[in-house]
Amino acid sequence: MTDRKQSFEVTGAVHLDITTQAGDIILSESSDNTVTVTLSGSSETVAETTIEQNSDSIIVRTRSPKRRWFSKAMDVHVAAPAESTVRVGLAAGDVVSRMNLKAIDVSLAAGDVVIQGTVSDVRAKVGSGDVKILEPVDDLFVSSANGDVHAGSVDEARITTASGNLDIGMIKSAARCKTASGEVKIHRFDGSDLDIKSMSGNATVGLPPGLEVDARISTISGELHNRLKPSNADDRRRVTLTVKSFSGDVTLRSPW
Amino acid sequence: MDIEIIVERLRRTVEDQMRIAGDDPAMTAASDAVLSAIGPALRDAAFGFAEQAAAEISSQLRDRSVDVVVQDGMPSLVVRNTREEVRVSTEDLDARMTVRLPEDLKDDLEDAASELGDSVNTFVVKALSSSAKSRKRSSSTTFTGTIET
Repeated sequence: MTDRKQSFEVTGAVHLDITTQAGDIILSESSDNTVTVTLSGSSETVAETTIEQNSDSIIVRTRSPKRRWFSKAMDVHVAAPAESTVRVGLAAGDVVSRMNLKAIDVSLAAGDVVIQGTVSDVRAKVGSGDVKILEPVDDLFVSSANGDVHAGSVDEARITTASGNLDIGMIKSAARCKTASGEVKIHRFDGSDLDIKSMSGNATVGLPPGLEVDARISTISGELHNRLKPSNADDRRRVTLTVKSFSGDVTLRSPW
Repeated sequence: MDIEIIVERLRRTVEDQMRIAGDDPAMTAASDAVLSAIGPALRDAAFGFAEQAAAEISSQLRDRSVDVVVQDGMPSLVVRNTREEVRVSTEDLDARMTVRLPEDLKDDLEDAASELGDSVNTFVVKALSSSAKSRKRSSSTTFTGTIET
């Protein structure tokens, strides 16, 4: 096990560009205008990793080993100013952000993505692993082969999963959700346009009172359950809801 | 469905492409990431395709459904007979309906009922009941319109 630490003076928010192979990537907020990168793990991998500053960018890159299929595990801890942007490329390991970011873009083959701080834009392409976002997000794009997607409040979302479930607390604007066998749960739809496509997973959507829903819902062998009770609202807001499923059930209900 | 053959073919294709790309570390890292995700992703996709195919074929079949079962960790399609045994109680036969039909068909019905040991009335009621249930099962659920909340 080897540790290596490098610090850089910066003028404010930066762009972090991190490409490694195996190990976790932890992002936290620095208290001043410095970026500190700490590598800890396999001494071979630490030696194969470069840390550079290029204008407002900090670049961490692990070279591919010559004689081995994979790099041995090495964790990367980065402390950077708030509102930075991040791009991560990682084969195996978790990506955890505990800081306030402007945007994060993660490409990950196997591992979880956990966003604990605030962030405007989230892009995550994950082979196998969950995506968990705890704070409200403006724009969410997730493409996942095998893993669940959990998010609290989202303005706009485009989410595609093969087998993972999708659980969104609230959608404020528009969303496109597509899954093969995962279950889709939208706890509250406060937006204008929601489109869900599912092959075998069930879809449940919470619709608040006072809406006039222009609905197009179809399921070939599943069932449609409408558990909504019309309210006495005078002025209803018009929204569009499209749900298409092959064998999943579709349930419309009040928010929960 | 043997997914391993497809996974292996894809793995070889990616590796061949990487040889063409030479010794570029970025390309090698990308291919490593792709290769580690290919197996589980393809298995998931195969289950998704199998379920989609099963649902689509089932919706077009009467008295049959296609199910996805797992055999040795791989998805397989199995056809299941869903025809239910129709029982006709003589006490429930209160409704009457006059049906006009070709003379030949009337003869065929009488012969078929006789072969099964049923009356023509019982034979026709069983056939109609089975047909109606089958149609109900195979129809999809679609709603297009306005819902007020």
